[in-house]
Amino acid sequence: MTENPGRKFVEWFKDRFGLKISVLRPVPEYSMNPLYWLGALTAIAFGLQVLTGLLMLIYYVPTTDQAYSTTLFIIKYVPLGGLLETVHLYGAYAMILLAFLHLFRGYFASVQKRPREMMWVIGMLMGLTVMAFGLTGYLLPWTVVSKSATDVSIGMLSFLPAQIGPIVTFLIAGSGTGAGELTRFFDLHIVVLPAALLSLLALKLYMFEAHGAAEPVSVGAKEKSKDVPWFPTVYLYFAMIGALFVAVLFVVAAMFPISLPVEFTPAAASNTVAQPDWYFLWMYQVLKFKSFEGSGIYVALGVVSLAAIAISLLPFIDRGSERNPLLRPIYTTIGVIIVAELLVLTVWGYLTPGQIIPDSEAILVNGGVAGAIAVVSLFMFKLRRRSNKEERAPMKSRLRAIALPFTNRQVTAVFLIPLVAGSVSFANVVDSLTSGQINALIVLANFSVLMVSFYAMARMMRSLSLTKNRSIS
Amino acid sequence: MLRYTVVTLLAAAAASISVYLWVVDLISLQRVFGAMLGSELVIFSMALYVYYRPSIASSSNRWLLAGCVVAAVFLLIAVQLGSTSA
Repeated sequence: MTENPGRKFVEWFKDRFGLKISVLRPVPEYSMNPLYWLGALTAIAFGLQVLTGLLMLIYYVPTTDQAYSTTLFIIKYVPLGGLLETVHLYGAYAMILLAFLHLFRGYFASVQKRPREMMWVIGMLMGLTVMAFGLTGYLLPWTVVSKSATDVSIGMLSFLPAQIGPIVTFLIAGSGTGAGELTRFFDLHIVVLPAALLSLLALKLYMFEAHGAAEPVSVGAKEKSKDVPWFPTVYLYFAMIGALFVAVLFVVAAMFPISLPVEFTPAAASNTVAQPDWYFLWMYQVLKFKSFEGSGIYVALGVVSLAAIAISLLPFIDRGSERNPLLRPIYTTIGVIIVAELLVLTVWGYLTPGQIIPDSEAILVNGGVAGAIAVVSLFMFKLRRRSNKEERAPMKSRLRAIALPFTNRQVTAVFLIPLVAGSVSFANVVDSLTSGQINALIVLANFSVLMVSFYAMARMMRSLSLTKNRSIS
Repeated sequence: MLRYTVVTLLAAAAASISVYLWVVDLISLQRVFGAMLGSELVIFSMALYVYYRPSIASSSNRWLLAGCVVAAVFLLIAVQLGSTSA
């Protein structure tokens, strides 16, 4: 029997490098799913960033008087320069988006459980590095928008303790001049951060080869799945999804080319509202809450840092063996709340540039989102636990139950009445509390309607669930 | 047959991109080039798909058809971008 040449090369590689683990070994068939390849797609995006970045380095000059003009020159006069610059920008966006998707997919699938605890921690460090890439790269074109937003970020460093604050600020942003800041950010962007990310990536890949992909949460999926070889099956699959990803990136770049804002000058900056790129908008929005102004920023930064640390150390906090998100109500609910809050804060930050958000509005929106998800989650997990006690109906019958709102049109029609009433009263409550002229009577009346609507909807949902159980049985 | 059709499509797309790269002004038509490259990459991934899943089952063919439609849409975008740039 002839040996696979790919396997032969891998064995040679292992032998010469003295590797103890099996490199590019066969993988389980269940991992032939794009959700298992989000990390690999992030790595492809990083590779594309390195390639396009190196090409831009041929023309880009990182000085305050040439950074903007050379960026503009690349876009306007270098053959394919506009496409290159746009692909670099959208590649960065894709890398950050994929890193977030990879994180939350891992969170809900509990991939951080034993023995992959350290893979999770390394992954979080990689995520932070990716965000740092975004922060440092944003300044490099030296536009008024990017410089103003970066100054806000650097300003936050002044809230660090006096013992380390000045040193960190000097290392990251230099002695306070624009030139020093640009040089530092350029060095971080093209030397320090790539070196850090590559080291972490190598470490994570090593651990991945040792532990393999986390098995799916569904019972018995691991036992049913057979292994497929790296050459050619996994290789072809990887190349296929990689090519599709790069294709979409190129077409989006072709359709929506980059347009450079005006160059940074102190005069232009005075007329510009500092707003970060979309991936930092959620944090920007938190910092705009009235309570977090001035010394309150310590609280905001403290809460965000604690949340990031808690997620990083999740494998050591959530030590249970259960991995199915449907059987982990607390962690699943927390995860959904985090995702929803990030989305709400991002959109909200985009819609309200430079506006200070009153505390009442912040509490209502963020608390409302968290509260609504918690209530819905509680209701759903309770329903599920109840239906688990009874005999589970076949999948086909359960799928038929999804159509119940359409088959029970009267219930659905009546359900819409409290839904509309509740929404209007909720909007009125928000409007009253944020208008500055709070009328207690109006707030109370609307709040009462809101509560009654909520109760009516809950009753109808219960009645619908009973109908569902009857139809299944 | 399907396998050879896709590989032929790939070769044709690669050749057309090469010719295009040779004759056009890349400064003014770089967006067209980007969209064409995207289209070619989709065809390339479809060729890989044929080798990855060589069965002629209908589910495989559906994915292949979807890929070809996406490649065609990307090519149409390239044509549209070309007509607006001219």
